[in-house]
Amino acid sequence: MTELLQYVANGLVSGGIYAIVAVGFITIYNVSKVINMAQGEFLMLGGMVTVTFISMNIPYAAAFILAVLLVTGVGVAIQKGIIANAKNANPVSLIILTIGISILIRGVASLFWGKDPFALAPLTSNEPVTFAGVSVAQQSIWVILTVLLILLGLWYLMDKTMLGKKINACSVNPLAARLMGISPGKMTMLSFAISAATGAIAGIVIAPLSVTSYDIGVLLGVKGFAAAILGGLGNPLGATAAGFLLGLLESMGAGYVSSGLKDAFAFLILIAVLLIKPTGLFGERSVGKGGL
Amino acid sequence: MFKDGKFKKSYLVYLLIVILFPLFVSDDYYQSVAVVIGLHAIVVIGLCLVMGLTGQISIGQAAFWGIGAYTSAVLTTKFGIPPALGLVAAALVPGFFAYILARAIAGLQGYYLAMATLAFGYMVQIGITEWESVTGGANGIIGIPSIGFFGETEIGMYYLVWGFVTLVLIFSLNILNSRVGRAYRAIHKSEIAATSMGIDVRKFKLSAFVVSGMFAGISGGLYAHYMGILDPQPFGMHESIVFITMVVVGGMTSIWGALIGTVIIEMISEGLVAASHVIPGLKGDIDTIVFGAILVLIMMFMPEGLVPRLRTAYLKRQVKKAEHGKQKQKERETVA
Amino acid sequence: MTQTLLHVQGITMDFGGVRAVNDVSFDVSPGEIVALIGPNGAGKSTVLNMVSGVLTPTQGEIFFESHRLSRVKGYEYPTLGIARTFQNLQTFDDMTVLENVMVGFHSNTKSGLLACGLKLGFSRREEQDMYDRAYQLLEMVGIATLGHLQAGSLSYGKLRLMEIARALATKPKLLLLDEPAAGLNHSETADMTNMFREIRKQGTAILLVEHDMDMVMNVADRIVVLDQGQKIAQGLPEEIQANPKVIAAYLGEEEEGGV
Repeated sequence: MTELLQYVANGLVSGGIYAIVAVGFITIYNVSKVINMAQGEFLMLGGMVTVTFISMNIPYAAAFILAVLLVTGVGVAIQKGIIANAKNANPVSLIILTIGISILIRGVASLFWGKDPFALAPLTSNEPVTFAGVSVAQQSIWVILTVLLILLGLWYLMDKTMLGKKINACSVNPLAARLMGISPGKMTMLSFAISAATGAIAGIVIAPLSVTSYDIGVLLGVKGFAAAILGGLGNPLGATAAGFLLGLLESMGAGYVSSGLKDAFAFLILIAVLLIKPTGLFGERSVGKGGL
Repeated sequence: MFKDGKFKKSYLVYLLIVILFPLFVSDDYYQSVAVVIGLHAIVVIGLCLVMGLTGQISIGQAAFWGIGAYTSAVLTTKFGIPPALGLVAAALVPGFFAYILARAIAGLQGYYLAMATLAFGYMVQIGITEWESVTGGANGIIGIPSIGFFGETEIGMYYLVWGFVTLVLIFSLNILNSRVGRAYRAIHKSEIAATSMGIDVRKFKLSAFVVSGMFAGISGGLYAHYMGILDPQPFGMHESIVFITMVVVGGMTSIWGALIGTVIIEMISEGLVAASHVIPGLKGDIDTIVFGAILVLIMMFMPEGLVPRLRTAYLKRQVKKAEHGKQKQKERETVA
Repeated sequence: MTQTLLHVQGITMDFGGVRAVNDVSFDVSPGEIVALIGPNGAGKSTVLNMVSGVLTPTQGEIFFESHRLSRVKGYEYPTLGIARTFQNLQTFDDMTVLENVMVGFHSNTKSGLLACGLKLGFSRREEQDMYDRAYQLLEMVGIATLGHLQAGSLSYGKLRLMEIARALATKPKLLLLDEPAAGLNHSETADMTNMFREIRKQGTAILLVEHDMDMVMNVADRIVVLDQGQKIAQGLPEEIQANPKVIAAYLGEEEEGGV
């Protein structure tokens, strides 16, 4: 029982991160129909930039905020400078384009920071907390709290504010939105900013749990994409649920079957689900020509 | 068919270069680079059939390459099967995997397909790493026998590999302008129209995947016997993306483009290796930066790729010339 | 007109609560031109999409010769003898015009992957044959000189003709045409009308959805009129022209159009 609870606790932490990345994918996708394969790099940049700022003797909190701002800037720059200028953008070329952006960022990161891993101090003490026989790092609790806060914040932003309504309008009907005086271009930029900022925050809070290095974004990005697809592309709630589900199943699989196969479980589940339901677990939209 | 004359010329140039290369470049290192280019080209031409012709994205092509390599390596080292038969298996087993994968994901499109192939690529690499009793896990396999084509020389391997490249190239070019190739291209443009013309979309997507899987497998088998050792590292997402870069640079819709893209990317790669010897302090993945930048720039400014771009430019010039000629003739006529 | 070719029996189509087509039945006999007309939004294209298998009726059944179409897969329609064109053109823009038409021979040809890849003798002959026949079809629709151009570079009207040639390549017994004259000028429409007569002469039946009433009255053997998803009339062109229900339906549209 303790074992199970331990796996659940671990699974919730990684699942929460996958959920953030997945929702980041969907925030951009819903507005612009772009799948940003560089999503994972926002997490990497968040962690690495914070480490660098702290090594420059900038206080933790300031480093945190500066890093998020910087990464948000990178997100906006990607959208403004590259994606908005891409000619004849169909899904295949957009995937290739954003894969290119992703490895470009990773390459520059490896040049700037080298390939060695860096450690980031946890927000509070290193001492794990134990209850009911389950020991959890204090940082893990911070991660869960941050994840919940981000998800709640995004939900509030999208469902309760005028800005969220504008973004949704662009997603449903860009032409009508434009006629109402909403600029889809601006909203797309905003969606990149939001995704980059939430990604950076997630990247910073998970960094202390292990180490951070130039290449941690790859797998996080892919898992987040998997959760976004699993939840049914376009559905943030589905993506959140799928993110937690992936994290939990992965943690169970690693615990009960084999830790080496940990990453394979996520993908196996994904392919299995797509076999049975090609639109993902919670996807209602058609996958036809229009729904690409 | 109606382009026969032009095709023959390009075949001739191609064959001359391939046959004469080792006679002018006798350096073992450059010959080995040429072998690797050939191995990659086989995979990339197959990927071109799936991505360029049929319009189905595959971000897991290195997995088929790896399955091919390990199939032949395991059969020859553990079961003493001759490499030639190992190569046959190296084509069939990935073909079978491609068939299963394609059957499973035949209904998927766009981003869903991208994710499924990406997941497949990861699973295969993890599978190879974890199935230690057979694949040797992360340590890999050593002592894979070489094929022995005119002795175990670099030149022998060169001609063997480029022989395969030539076969794969001709096969694919034949497909391009045939009933099957048109079906692929029709699917790419409009699945509804293709279906209304009697094309079984699932079946043809499946066959494109299987052929590309088999090509990758053959290349993988040759790679295993050429290297003599294997480990799971080269068969992951990084390599899959390199393959995509090669297809994209040459022009996704062009088979010749796939070949030319492979050569270009490989030469850039070699150039960077050489540069890193000269410029100290390049501690990062310079090639990653360069490939990333190439992908971004190509997709932004030349999404159709190099060969189609050049072909269009050439055709436009021909048309202009023809118009110019007509105009001159008219002027002469009016003067007369 | 001995037996029916196409028998549409009480088909209904619901789009999420909206009934686009309600209990429509009609027949098409071999070698007959039947026009499907009606005001905008009457459900003509929806009917055509159901007959061509793009949509599956919510209720009702469509029979083609002895086949129940609900049991036929989309790609098997050309083999049965049903071909179509699209209202919003579905052409293969990056192929040449000839290649577009050659795709139409797909269901009547056999060359598989290996035969094509190895250019076996019979696939070579088949290819040559397809090429020749595609050229003939282009001659018939009058755009043979454009055969080697990229389809994407053609004008709207020429693409419509190319789509018809491509559909004819499947050797259909029934040709479904979705607004073939849309965007054509007068002389092009006249040419097309003549072409339909030529096609009928060769034994192919046509089910035509068209707004151009001159063309419809000129070429149709029989007319089926839809309004708001219902069949309101069917008969010979002169009967339809005199039918008060039809006139009312079209007048209603004009009034709406005036607002």
